[in-house]
Amino acid sequence: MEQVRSVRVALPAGARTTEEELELLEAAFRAIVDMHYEGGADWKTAWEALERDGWTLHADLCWRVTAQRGHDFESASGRTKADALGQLLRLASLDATEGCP
Amino acid sequence: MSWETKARAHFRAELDSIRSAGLFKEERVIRSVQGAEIEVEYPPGAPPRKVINMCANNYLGLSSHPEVVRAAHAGLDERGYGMSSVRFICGTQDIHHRLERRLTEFLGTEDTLLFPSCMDANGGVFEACFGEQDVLIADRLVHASIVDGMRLCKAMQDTFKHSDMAHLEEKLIEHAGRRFRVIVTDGVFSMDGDLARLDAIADLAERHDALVFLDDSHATGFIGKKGRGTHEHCGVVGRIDIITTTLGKAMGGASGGCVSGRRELVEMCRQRARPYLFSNSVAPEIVAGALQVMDLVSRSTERRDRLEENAAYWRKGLSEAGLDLRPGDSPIVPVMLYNAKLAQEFSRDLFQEGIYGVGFFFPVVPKGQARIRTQLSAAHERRHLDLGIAAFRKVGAKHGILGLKRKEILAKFGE
Repeated sequence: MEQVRSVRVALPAGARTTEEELELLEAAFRAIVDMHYEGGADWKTAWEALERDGWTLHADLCWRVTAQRGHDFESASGRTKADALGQLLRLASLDATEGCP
Repeated sequence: MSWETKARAHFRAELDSIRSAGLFKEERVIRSVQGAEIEVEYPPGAPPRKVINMCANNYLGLSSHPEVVRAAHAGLDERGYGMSSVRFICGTQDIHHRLERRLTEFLGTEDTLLFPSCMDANGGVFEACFGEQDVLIADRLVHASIVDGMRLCKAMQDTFKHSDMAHLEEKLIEHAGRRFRVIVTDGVFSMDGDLARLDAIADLAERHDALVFLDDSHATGFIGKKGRGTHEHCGVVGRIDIITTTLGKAMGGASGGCVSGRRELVEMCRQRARPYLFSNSVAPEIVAGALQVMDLVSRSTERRDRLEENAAYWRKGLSEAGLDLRPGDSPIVPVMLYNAKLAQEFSRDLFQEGIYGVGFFFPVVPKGQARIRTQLSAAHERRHLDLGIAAFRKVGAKHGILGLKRKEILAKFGE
């Protein structure tokens, strides 16, 4: 059985990391792995197809947050988790009630 | 996936969950024309029963007005039944343009574009006019069609607490970097019947260089001294950038809506609003009927004056009977019951007394805010109102809520 390799980075003694930083590190490594081994390189085909159709493209990594309450679903994205959650909050505030016809 | 093996079971379960939550909507069949008195078949199969209608948007009583019906018949004879086309291909008749000009004049705007409904107008206007550099800041109680329209638009979406001008100003400052900030509000809010503070909103918009959007569906034809709407009532005619409204309520009650306002914004809708571009023209007979409605509301304020008197009389009568009302100046008069089950039972009991009024409860209104929303009409005669007040008093006494306010009703019935 092939040995699973992992990368370990020793943090300086006394270094403090937040939960968010660890989450971000994990997401960054996950993205690198996906790019090489989970078909992550296939993005070029879609990118080129869109460019051929006249689109000017831009891509960046972001936070995506989702919320589910019964039948309602909301999702938002942002450069920071706070941005994404702020957007989610704004979207959710649109539907406080169904309202009267 | 086949319908029989998986999908049918899924949707049946969904419908069952709606039923068990007490949220299943049932239609009550009317076997008469719309009016102050209607014949309703309820429960289904029961002999039709004459009741006083206290829940229609027929504010001016024009839904079955003989002059409107006659004009619609003439429209049918002269311009046909339907257009079989969208407006910009071969669906525009002279009467469509005539009605748009009449609405522009009546609302005091620069231009108007008809839509199949105000739901469609609200669904199309934001996406047609605004983009990702902009922000739409809506009152939290705006109509569902505005929420849908905002969601279809790429602009950032935000809200301010209901009629809270300080919160609105915070939001205008927070979003100062956006290209356009658009304040979005109803004129008369359908849930509570209260009016937007349009004068304060227009002032804030000017101070912060923002635009104002107004949905005046529950106001056009009767709010303001000449019935032009909330902007007339608040003295801000000419200061509202976009008005959407409906022909489906006070203005004859058939269907159709419009976007009216700054010439360039209306033209953007003509070029880009998808409900305008991809759905049929308003039918000729409805346009002809609406032109007659425009004549009636422009000729005299007698009907809107009578509606105002009726609303005041109704409010006074119910208050004196000891019912708890939401304060306001519009013909939407919510009778507050707070408890959802009580609202449903109250509505059923009223029907037995010959009064048709519908209970609203969560999620239509916030939890603990259940009510019977009553709506006045110029078609109501004094005897209708007296019978209605007597019925509310009788049913209120049956449930022991006369003279009680929110706290006491909730203590008795729970939320």
